[in-house]
Amino acid sequence: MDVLIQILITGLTLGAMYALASVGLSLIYGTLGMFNMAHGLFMTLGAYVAYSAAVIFGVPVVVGILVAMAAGALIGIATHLLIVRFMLGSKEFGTNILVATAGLGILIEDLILKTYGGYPYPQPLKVEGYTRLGGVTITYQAIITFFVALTLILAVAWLLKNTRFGRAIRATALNREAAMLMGVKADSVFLQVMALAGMLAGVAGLMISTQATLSPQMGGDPLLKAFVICVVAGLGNVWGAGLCAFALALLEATIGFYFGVRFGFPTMLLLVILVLIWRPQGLFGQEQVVRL
Amino acid sequence: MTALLSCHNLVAGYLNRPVLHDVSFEIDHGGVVALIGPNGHGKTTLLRTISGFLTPRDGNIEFDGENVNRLSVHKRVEVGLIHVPQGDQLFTEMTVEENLMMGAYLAKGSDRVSDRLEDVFNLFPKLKERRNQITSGLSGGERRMVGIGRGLMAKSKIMMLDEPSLGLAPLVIEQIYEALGFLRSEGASFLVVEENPSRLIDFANKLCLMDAGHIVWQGTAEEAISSGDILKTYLGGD
Repeated sequence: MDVLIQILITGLTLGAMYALASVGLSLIYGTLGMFNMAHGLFMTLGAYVAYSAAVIFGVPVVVGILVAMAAGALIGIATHLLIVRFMLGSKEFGTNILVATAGLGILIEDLILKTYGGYPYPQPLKVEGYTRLGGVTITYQAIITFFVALTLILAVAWLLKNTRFGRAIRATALNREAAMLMGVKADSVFLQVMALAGMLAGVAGLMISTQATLSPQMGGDPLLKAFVICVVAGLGNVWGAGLCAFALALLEATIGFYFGVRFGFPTMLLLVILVLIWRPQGLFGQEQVVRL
Repeated sequence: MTALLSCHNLVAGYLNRPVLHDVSFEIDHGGVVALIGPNGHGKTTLLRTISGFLTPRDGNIEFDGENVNRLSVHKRVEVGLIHVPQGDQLFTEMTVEENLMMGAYLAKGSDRVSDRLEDVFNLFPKLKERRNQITSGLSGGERRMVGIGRGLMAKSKIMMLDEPSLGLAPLVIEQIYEALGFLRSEGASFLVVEENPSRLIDFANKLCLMDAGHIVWQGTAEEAISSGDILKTYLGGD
């Protein structure tokens, strides 16, 4: 029983962080048709900016979360205004933007390295203490991570489903030209999506840094996992990405517990290969039907 | 009285390949103009130029007394120019009602969107039954009705329809044109693109025949019938 609880707690905490990262990544892919290689650095930046806010101004955890969200949203907006906007609609957009955002990622990573140095810091914006459930220790931070992620993801889901702004995003993702013919300003939708996804990434970064440490490279691993999750779910499928994030995290936690942590990620990758052989469009992806 | 929509010497196309050459025509308030002609001769390109996806290289598009050449796609929707694209282009994972509501995206709080929805349901009662269904599960005819209904939700000044009969069974085409005829009798203006003019003789008051990016003939439906040779030459058949 304790083992089960332990796996569940680890899996849900991991899943919450993965979900924050992959929902945003998937939203960007679905709407703009681009894979954001800088997404990992959006996370790193969120974590570092929150760290600075804590060190310089001594902000409490709640404010720190808001700061991470704001930092993520701002870098998302900047990415759109300075890079994406000019490349959208160009030939080979998908490939070009991959290179451009990868470059942006390197730039941000170097800037962080220059500003903060390469030494890993502990994240001060962290709730200390733990509680016990049976024989299992659950840190308060894990509980907070889970509920913050859940709240944000449900909020985004609600926005997309029930607001005019959310419906415009969904319509643009489903059929960009048709949405424009309804009067949707595609460029503002793209900006909003980049801000929203950046915001989720910023929080994801802060949460990840509370579980490990702050380092300029901390975004790499979560980006890779978020990418894997998005591919398994079917690129661009936002709900699928959220669900797969939790499922794969639980799998990773289970494997990690029984066979050792180092087998967690390889097992995840193996599963991904199998899923993609079986369903190339991803678990929740729709087969592209070309209608003339 | 000035025309509702007019194109003057329009030249447009893709990259270095002009598709439209010197296209001029007018639609009056309450008028219905049909663009006919074989596939691949610029009909859809013309609609895409009027709705703003393509920028004209030369010539002017005037709508409701204003030059709209420089307006972006969403601005043109705002001034009342609606384009119902070929093949419906529905939001496939949304319900019928969500699709229709997207049509009223630019409606303001004071506009009675629910009345518009009711009007569309009265025109296409089938859609009311299916209002909560995802559109990808609908039949071709129902999808066409959603496409047209979505265009109606904007309460536009003119609606451009790209092949409303495409891929539908004759009986369904009949239904669609019956609905369009009703809208016309209520005073709506249309620019309709079709490959085959047979349905349009009754519906349109002016026909424009397009060939290789030129309008090679234009006139009233009666003139088209009396000079049947022209239609035969370009469209074949009878």
